[in-house]
Amino acid sequence: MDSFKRAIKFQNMDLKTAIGWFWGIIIPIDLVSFLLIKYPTFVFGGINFGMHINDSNIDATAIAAANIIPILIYFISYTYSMYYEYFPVSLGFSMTRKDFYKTTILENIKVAFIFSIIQSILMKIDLYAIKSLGKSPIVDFKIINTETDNILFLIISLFIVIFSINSMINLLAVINYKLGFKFWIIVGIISSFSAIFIGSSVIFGSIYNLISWIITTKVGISQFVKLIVMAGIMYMLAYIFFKDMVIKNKIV
Amino acid sequence: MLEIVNLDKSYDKLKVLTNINLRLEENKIYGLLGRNGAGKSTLLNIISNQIKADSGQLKLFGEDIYENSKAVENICLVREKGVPVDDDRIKKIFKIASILYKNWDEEYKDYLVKEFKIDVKKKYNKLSRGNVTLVGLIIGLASRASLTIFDEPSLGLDAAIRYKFYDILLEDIQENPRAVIISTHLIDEVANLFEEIIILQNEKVFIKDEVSNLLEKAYFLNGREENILPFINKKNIIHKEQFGSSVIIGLFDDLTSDKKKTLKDNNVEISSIPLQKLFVYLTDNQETEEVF
Repeated sequence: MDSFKRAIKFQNMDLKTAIGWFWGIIIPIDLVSFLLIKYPTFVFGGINFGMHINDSNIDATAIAAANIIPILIYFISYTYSMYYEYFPVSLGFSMTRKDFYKTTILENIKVAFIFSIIQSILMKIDLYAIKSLGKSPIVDFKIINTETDNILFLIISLFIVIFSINSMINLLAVINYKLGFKFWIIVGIISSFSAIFIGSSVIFGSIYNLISWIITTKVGISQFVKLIVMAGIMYMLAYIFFKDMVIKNKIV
Repeated sequence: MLEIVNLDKSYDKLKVLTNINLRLEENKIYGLLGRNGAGKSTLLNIISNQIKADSGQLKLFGEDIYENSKAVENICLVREKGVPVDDDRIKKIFKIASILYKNWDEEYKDYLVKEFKIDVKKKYNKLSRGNVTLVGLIIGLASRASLTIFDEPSLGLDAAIRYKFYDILLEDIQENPRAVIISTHLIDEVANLFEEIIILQNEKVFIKDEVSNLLEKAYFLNGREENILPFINKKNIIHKEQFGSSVIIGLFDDLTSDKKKTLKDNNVEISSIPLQKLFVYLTDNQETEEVF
C-alpha cells in the first residue's frame, strides 16, 4: 500500500464512529421533537409531561432544519481535531504534510457529502412528517426549498454550502494551530481597533457577510462555481500556513 | 544511504547547526552524541521531516527527504517526548502505527508487548515515564523502518529493561538489518552497540568515526609526570589529573608500539579510555582539532 493510501486509511480510522455517534444522537432528538409536536403534553402517573408552551397560532414548523447548528458545531470540532490531534500523530508517524493535507481535503469532501445526504433525506422526511401532523412545514430555506426542489438538488446544495463553510473553518483551525493563543490576541486587537476607528469589526463583519452570502444564495451553476473557487482559495491560503508546520505542544 | 550536505539550521538568531556534512551507511548502528543543546534533537528532527532545514541537502536512498513520502516512509523517529497523542489507548496507538508504517511487523509487536509486559488497554497519558519510553521503543522496533532513530531511548527505564532493550535491538538488527541512530547520554551502556559515533559540538560535526578507531587512540597514561611528558611531546592531551607525585593523562592521539613500550619501561601504566569519558574530555576541550 503506498503512503497516500495509508494516509487515507488512517484518516478513516475514527470516521465511522464519529459520524455514527453524531447521527445516533441527532436522529433520536429529531424523533423526540416530532413526538413532542404530536403529543405536546401527556399524562403519566398523574403527572403532566410535555411542551406546555404550545402556541396554536404558530403553525409553520420544521424539525430537521435545526440540525444545521449541530452540524456546524460538528465541523468546527472535527476540523480542529484534524490539526490538534491527527496532524501531530501523522507527522510523528512518518506521514508527509502534503499527504496529510491532501487526505484532509478528501475527508472534508467525503464528510460534507455524507452529512448532506443524511440531512437532505431528513429534511424531505420532515416535510411529510410535519404535514402528517396537520401543521405547515417550513419549506423555504433560501438555498433550498424542500417542497419544490428534488432530493439531488438538496444534496448538492447542502454539500457545497457545508464544504465551503468548512473550508473557512479549516483556514481558521490551521492559523489557530500555527499561532496558538497569539491568534486570538491578534483577532482581538484587529477587532477592537476596527470597531473604534472604522465603526465596525472588519473580521467579524466580513465573516458574517460571507457566511450570509453562502447560506442565503440559491445554488445555481454560477453560485456552485463561486463556492468551489472560494473553497479552493481558502484551502490554498490554509496550505500556505500549513506547509512547514511543526508539531506544537497542546496550545489553544 | 543517508546523505547530508551543507546543512544549516537556526532558530531566529540562534545558530544550532552549521555546515553539517554526513554520510550514513545501510545496516549500521550509529551513536549520535553531543552535550545538551548541541543540536542532536534538531538534527534528528530534520532527518525525519519533522522540521525544515534552513539550507543544505538531505537525501535518503537518493531521494530528497523533506516532504517526500518516498523517503519519509522509510524513517521512524522515536521521540524523547513520546508519541504525540494524548488520551488514546496503547492498543489504538499501535493500530495507527500499523497503518502508517509500511513495513510494520504485527507479530513482532505482539512479541515485544509480551516481553516488556505492556498493558495495551491502558491509556497512554496514564502510563509511567518508563512505559511511555517502552511504547516508543516497541514502535521503533516493529516499524522495521530502513532508518530507525531512537532519541534518548532509555528515559525512565530501569537498568534491567534497558539492557533487555539493547539485547533485543541487537538481535533484531542481525535478523532484519537496517540503519539505526541512537542519541543518548548513557554512552557507556550502549557503547558496545555503536559501530560509529557522530559527535556534535559547536553547531558542527566534531567527530564521525568508527568506535574502534576512536578507542584505539584514546589512552590513560598513569605515572610520574616527568616519565610521561617527554614521550608525548606535541601529542593531543585531552585530560590531566594530578595525584600527589603521580599524574593521569588522557591522550587522544596515535601511540606507536615503541612509544608504548618506552612508557611501560618508565613505569607508566597504559589503559584505554571508556567511550563516555572520552566523549566528556573531547567535548570539554574546545581546542581539540576536528577529526571528521
